[in-house]
Amino acid sequence: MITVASAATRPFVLSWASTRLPVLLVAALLLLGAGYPLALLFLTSIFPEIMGGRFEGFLDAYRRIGETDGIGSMLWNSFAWAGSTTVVSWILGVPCGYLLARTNLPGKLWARLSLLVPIMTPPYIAALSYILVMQDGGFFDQLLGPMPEALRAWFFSFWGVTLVMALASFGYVALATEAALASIPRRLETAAAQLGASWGQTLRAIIIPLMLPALFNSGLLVFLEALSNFGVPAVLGTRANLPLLPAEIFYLVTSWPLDLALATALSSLLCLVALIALYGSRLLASFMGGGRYEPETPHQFQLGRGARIIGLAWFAGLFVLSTLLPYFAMLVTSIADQWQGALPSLTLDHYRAILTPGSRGSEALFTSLWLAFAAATISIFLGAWIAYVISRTQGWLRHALEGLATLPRVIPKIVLAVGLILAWNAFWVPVSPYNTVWMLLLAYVVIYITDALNYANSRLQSMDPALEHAASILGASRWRVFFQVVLPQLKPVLLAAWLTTFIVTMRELVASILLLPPGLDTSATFIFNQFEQGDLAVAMAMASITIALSSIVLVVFQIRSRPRAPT
Amino acid sequence: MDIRSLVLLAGLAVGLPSLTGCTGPSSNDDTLVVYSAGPRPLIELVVEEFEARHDVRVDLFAATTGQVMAKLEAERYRNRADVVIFASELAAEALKRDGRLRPYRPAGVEQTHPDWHDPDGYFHATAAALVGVAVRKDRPLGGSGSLDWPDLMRAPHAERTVMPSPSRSGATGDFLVNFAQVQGDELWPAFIDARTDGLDFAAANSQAIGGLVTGAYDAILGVVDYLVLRQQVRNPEVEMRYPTSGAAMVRRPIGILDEAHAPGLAEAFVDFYFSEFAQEAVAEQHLIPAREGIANSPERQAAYEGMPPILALDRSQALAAQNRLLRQFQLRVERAEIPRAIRSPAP
Repeated sequence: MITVASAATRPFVLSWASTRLPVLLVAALLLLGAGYPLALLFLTSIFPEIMGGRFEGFLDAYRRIGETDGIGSMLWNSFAWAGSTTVVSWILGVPCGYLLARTNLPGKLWARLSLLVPIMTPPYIAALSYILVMQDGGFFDQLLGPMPEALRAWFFSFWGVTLVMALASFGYVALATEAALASIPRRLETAAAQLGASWGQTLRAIIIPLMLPALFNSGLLVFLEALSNFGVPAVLGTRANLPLLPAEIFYLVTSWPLDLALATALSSLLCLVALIALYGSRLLASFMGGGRYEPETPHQFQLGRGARIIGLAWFAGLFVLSTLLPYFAMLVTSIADQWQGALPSLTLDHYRAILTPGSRGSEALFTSLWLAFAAATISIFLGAWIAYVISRTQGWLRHALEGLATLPRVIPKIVLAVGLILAWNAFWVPVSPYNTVWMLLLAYVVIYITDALNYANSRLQSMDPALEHAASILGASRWRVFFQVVLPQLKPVLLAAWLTTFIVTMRELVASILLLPPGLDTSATFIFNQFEQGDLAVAMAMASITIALSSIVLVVFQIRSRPRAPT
Repeated sequence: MDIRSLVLLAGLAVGLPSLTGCTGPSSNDDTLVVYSAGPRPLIELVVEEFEARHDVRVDLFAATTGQVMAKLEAERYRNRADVVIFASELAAEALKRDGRLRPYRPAGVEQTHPDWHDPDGYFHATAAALVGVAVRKDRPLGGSGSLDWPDLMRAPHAERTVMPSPSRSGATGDFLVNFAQVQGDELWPAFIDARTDGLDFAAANSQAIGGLVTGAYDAILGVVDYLVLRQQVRNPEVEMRYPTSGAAMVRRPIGILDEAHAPGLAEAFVDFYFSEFAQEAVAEQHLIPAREGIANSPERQAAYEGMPPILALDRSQALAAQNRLLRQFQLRVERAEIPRAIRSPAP
């Protein structure tokens, strides 16, 4: 236990290091986890042959960016698409969060679950399911009569692809909004009401500024997810004429002759966009929002009959569009035996094949479950700690560390996977985790720690450090302050972060494929393999099982964490 | 949440993997590392049998050709693989030019088609497949006797035809490169017209095949046949056809990495891939076995009597053209803003 008094008597270097120990530790962790592979990637983009010890072709890749046909429109498309997805997610998600946090809507548990289910679907499986529903002669046409051609044309366009992506990610926004609103104290609103403020004034002067950090942080997650998403535009985008940067990068890394240098150079463009989004949203949030407060039991409005119905209808409508529609297609396909016309005869063989104990499918499921569990658990504790240390640090270091932690989330995962291989398979690494299951765990934590960081950050910004100061004046060690003062306050947002991390790790595909040790499968790679082999039914069956399992975890989690007594 | 439960959680998170028993890699000399694209049941069967016969352990990485290439590239300066199997010989050719393969003459290679292999002996085709068209028998196109490529690229059939994206599906990409060699400059107007008449692109083979099986499309242009032949078993409405002017042949080469850690085992594995056992497993997956005297699968046997005509291919020219061609295709055809005729509804 190091106290300030004892530190002062030590040699200067030691005392400097010990007062800054947390920041240094965080910096070291981030540099090793994210900085090191990213640096190797960046070097590769500058000197394509550097890993072989040669310095030829300096900046050649960046010159070739300019020569790449259609690069401008690709960059613009990516930006516009990610931006529109974020806005649409806000429009869909904020009312959900509000209804959950601030009203006595019945069936909140189920409403909350309905938000998380769409996040569980692997994006390309979701996109494929929508195609099965919406395509010419698809389920819609068969069951509801011919679809208007205008609707179909709209669906297979920019806005259709945007809607699909937003439907897959508005849950992030809703959960973050709920968490933020739930901790905004009632007394501020009561005070405003007593001073004669109208509902609109209260909203403008109190609710929105206090919510902005959460709004921007969740929006940032959606934005980054869309910016680096490959699945949805890859499946739907070809029909919607939507060339995006991640698809281009994926193509460069997986088609021969490979062009890793150009791919990494293009990835650094994506990073630039992501950093602008990160610092921009932080700046906006601190400029327009802010204010510190202590959480308190939230105030809930009593909804009238009409309002309750509208609220439920909003959830139900979103549930139908985001879940029932694709899941119906997925389930039908997974039990399809023979297709006569557009509707098949049915069989459960595909499920039987997967669920047989000891089969490849069941092993893949088990691997995915514990990997997701471990990655989510490690991510939230590490993420909370990193976010805490960063938020209590001032100056450029704070921004640098924040940026570093965010970047792995935006680089197309195939490139990041290559970077991780370059980093951990290098000849100077004596005991390499590469080709073991630990590599996968490391990758998941590196990629998805951003979620925990963002969630924790949204709460930390409104947490008054006075309590921490009081604790350390009373002699509590740093660790004790973190575990007993900070962590309990972060609990609600960390639970949300655990769930989303668990879910996205369960479905992570691209990095898993390259980093998987031989002989091992995760459920996502299993699905993808079946899909590649043209065995759509088995792929869909596995997707359904994975989603069902994730849902069970969700339900258990939600029910167990239900009595939320504020600490 | 107190500290004890935290420690418990963290311990659980980290402790679980040891329970599953999937621990570190074995870098023994008696371990062979195989990277393989292609049908997974096939490579798993071959690997299992090889392990049993030679009493060694094989670490298998099974993925698509693109993913195998990406992994090889990432491991360029610390190689891990001993043997690679691709679904495209252009990929193998690219690896050979990088100097990453070593020449080897497999035992039993004299019983295979000599012109399927690399003339310099750096890689050898273990199997082949044909890229042609798939149709539905209950739709107009399915009824016509002989088919050729242009039939699917013009109205009225183009609007109900789908093509796997050549930059995403390796086999379709190889077909397009081959088709471009045969067609020359006529390729572009032909495909732009096809697009105008309604040709769609799918992100993957399975998506195109799914569209055909469910009846959303009448035909697939440029699809690799073994996937369709497999579907035929379950969905008799679907049929593989070979265009009269020639199908493209895609071969699945095997090669040994120059920096292989277990070259002896690698050679034994390559030999084994040309054995009767492995070649029968190849045929089982509806691929054309490289070894002569191995019977095709019944589905393939039913699909054609004699071998259909094959489009001529200049491999080194194809490799040189491939990247530029596929990119041009993306820009000028797949993603181009081409006004399309309104699609008529499904029959």
